[in-house]
Amino acid sequence: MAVQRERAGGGSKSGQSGGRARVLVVDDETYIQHVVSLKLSNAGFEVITASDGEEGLAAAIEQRPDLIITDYQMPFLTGLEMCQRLKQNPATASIPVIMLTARGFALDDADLRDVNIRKCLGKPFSPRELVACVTEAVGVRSAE
Amino acid sequence: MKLAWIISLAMAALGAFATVAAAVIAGLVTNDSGLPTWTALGVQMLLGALLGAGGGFAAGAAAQKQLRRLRATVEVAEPAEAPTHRLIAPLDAIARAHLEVVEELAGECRTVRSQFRQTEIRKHLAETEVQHLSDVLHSLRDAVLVTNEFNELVMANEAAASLFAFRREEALNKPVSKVLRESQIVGLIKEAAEAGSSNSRKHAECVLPREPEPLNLEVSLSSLADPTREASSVVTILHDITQERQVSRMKNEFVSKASHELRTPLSSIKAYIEMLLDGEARDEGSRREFYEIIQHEAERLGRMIDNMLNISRIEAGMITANWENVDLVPIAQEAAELLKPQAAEKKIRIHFQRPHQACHADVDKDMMKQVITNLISNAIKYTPEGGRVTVAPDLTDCDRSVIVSVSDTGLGIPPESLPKLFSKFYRVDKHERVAKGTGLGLNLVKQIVESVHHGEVGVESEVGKGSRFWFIVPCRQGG
Repeated sequence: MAVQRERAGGGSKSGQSGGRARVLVVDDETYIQHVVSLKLSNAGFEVITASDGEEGLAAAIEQRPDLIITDYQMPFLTGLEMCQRLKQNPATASIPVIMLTARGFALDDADLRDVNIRKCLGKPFSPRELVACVTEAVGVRSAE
Repeated sequence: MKLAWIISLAMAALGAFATVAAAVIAGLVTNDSGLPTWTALGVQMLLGALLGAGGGFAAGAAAQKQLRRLRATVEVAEPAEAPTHRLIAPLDAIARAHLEVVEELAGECRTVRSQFRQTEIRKHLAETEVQHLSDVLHSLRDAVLVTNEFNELVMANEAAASLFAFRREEALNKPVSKVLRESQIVGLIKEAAEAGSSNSRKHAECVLPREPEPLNLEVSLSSLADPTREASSVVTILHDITQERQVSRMKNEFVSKASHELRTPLSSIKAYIEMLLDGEARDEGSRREFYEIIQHEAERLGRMIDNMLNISRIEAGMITANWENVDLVPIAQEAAELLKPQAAEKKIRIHFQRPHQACHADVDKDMMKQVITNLISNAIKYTPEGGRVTVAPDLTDCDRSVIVSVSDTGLGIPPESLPKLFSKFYRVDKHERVAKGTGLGLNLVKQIVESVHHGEVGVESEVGKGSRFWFIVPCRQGG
């Protein structure tokens, strides 16, 4: 399993009051994975990465992130399939997910709720907007 | 004897009339379909006329004989000087009256004969028209079924018989539910027959399970309403839209895949630019890295667009080749040299296998170079570090064609992926992790070789051992 860990550069922008939130970034596109990780690290999050659905699933079970950002179209296991598997596992069922998709369609609202997808962002996306979504989702989860 | 003829003519006419009248009344001149058979009518009229003529002639001859006998009796009974006109005058009056009747009958007969002739012409025209309509119906590619108010099949064309695999002559007049196994279509016909209070038309789509693939049909049902009946007869037309559906599915898939593929590098470009603008690259090294990523992804986007445009131009027949008779050996060598740095990054050796002779062919030089470059580039991508790629041009097919093969010691392609390998946007699932690709390179190779150069592409592969891609182009185009 090729899970890499990127430690945050600075923690000044962190949206969390106590302890840094851990975010798992799953994308088979290296450049996207890299840019998202960097943006989140700069915003004070702890970032772990995975390159496809299978790796993402294993990393989620092992590392228990506070939030997952995943691409939709990936080899072996799509983002949606990965989310369905996460939902079936009590240990990972409550982890919120933000999905990035380059597909021209939006996922059904019911689908999103069933698999704990909080937000769907279309590619090309804005890293700035993504960080705002992550901050909001992690905050929402902390309040629950 | 003249009188005998006249009477016989009159009797013939009367005979014909009587026969026809009797036949029509008795319903003898009807066939199974309930329509008068004009041929039968004609034959009967002729028979009637002959019988009437025969009878009339006999009757006329007998009347004349009696008249002669009467005249002789009168001459014998009365002396020659006696006024015979007293007896002959009423006889003449009778004869004149007869003659008038006969003439009248003859006129009627002429009219009937001409009407008969006209009817015969009309019948012939109607028959021709029926035959013509039947030919039209059978020539239709769409299946046509006509059912009556009892849902019995009253008409079906050849296309319908072949679509539903029934024999027309056996199926006619049978309940449609016994003829068609497809309950969905039977249901639609029954529905239309029951609902068709006014002349209405209904459309539906259905899928028939067929081998090798299911058929998509557009069903159009027209009910021919009869106000005196509760149900109506139904004309069902089934149009095969399988191909249209396939084309539309392929188009949608292409648009969806193309937009996905184009969005991916675009999102990298957009994200890294935003990072630069937001000052997220903290040092010169990071900034330089971002610029390079943007450049790399912009080039990738450009290549993708070029490939898509080239493929669609070739498919639309809009590309014109710059035909030249050139040696493919230096072209292949040039492509191999060009990719050596890329191979060196992965410590892959490119071995160029020079043939003993030149390999001249009518080709578009640039397109050929692109084909060979794509094949070598793919080989490098899917060959692990330290592997080997061999490029080998040669003459083949008794020196009538040139073959160029590119072999590698790479991952190999699973057999189930081989048939789809040259399709647009197709990527071997397991290879997606190994290298980035658009899934367009091999499709472009196929289009250039097969559509433009009338050649052939192929591949042999074994998982874990490697692949050998090859293409053949004829030495002479148009010959």
